[in-house]
Amino acid sequence: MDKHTVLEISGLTKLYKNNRGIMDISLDIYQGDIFGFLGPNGAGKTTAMKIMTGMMKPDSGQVSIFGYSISDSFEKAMEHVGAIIETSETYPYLTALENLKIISRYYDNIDRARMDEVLKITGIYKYRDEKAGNYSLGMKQRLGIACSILSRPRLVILDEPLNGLDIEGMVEMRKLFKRLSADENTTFFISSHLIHDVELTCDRIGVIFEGRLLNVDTTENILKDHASLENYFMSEVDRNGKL
Amino acid sequence: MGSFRAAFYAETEKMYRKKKARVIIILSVITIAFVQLFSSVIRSGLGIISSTASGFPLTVLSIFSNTLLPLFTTLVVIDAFTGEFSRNTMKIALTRPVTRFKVYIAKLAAASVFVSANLLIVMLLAFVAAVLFNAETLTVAGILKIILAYTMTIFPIMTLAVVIAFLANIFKSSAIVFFLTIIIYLVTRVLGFVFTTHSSLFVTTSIDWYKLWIADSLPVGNIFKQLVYMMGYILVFFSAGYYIFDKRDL
Repeated sequence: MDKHTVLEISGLTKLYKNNRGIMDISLDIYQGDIFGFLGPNGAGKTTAMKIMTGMMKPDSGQVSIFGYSISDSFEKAMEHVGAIIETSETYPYLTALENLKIISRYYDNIDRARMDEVLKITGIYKYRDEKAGNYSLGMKQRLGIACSILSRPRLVILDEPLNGLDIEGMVEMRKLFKRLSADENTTFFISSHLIHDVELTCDRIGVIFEGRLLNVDTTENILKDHASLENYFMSEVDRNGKL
Repeated sequence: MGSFRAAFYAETEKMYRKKKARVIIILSVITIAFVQLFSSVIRSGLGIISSTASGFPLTVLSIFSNTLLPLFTTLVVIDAFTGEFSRNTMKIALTRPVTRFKVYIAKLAAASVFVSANLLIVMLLAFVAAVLFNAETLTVAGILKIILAYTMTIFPIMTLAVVIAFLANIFKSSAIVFFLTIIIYLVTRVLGFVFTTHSSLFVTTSIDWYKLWIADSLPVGNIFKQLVYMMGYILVFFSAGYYIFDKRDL
């Protein structure tokens, strides 16, 4: 494994009873990347991310995070990882602050100041004492993002993180991801079916379609050869004989 | 160990933050008040000496450990497993740096805190009621006997909790697990009465384990036999429950 590789996926396969799923996905994510996992609904993004975070077991293949296998050394692998998978979940009977306190127990050195900081960063500080069950979809998403960055993780895995956010929220979160990547060298693995979001946020992009990873390239290279990311996506799908 | 401690504290905190915990405390208090009222009516109205100060907390335990405590424990364990899976909040703990094995044990350990706390509260309230209404008959030996009886009730209830945790990992609906637990509880209770010679085989029979501990002459053989049965139940249902929990895709 390269010294800068934080996430290594090799030969990942998971097939459901309906024969959908993911097939033979291999991918390396490097320190500081904001990697965009782009694909339509049902392409296999969430399945891959669930396996990456130990929520689901693959039929075959391996995932290593910071050199630790997710199946053999789960605690070590997840020590510096923050994640939102599928939906942003919080305990509805707890306030935002109490939710963060519960999560802080799993990590060292998270104090009240850090909790306040992430609440301010995500724009929900003034609602910190309200029960999460009363939050709007957008506020829940912001709280989910606050939970995922609370421990200052070196790798943040986010599945459709901008879902439910209004335009202002989307812009704020995009800025946050870019700032954390630039200032703290945080690596992001972000899935989305929204091409425009991926283009604006990510510096490397992998296209997944019908469970297979079609190609991985930098956003810069892609936009050199194609008018837009949408154009690239369609050409990749076409090239692989999927249309 | 650090990650287990984190999971245990988190599970315990979640448990007592719920409204359910407050409702359970209120119901426990109502039970004691009801037993005390019933006891007072018998004593004064019918001229019968119903219970000494030491006897009252044991009467409460006898009723509580066979009715409300198993019911409350069932609700708490179902909520910790099936409830979290169905609300999708299980993934909050399972995407943290803690293994599923530790999360599973932490949930059961938190349930044991709930059972112990519930028994402690009921015991203290029963004590207070007994002292207020019948203080003159209270003895040190009686107090020790009560403490022993309440403490020993933790083990069979936790055995039951391990069995419920197994069921809670098989089914996806909290309602199904709840009704199945109630049915199994009632059926094994009845079977225990019908087949008295084999009643020790049923986990529900063990709930009265504390009675062996406070008997005038300690029946060591019977205590050991019940302990072995409980350990057997725990080993089998813990292993099966954890196996399903570990293999489950979220």
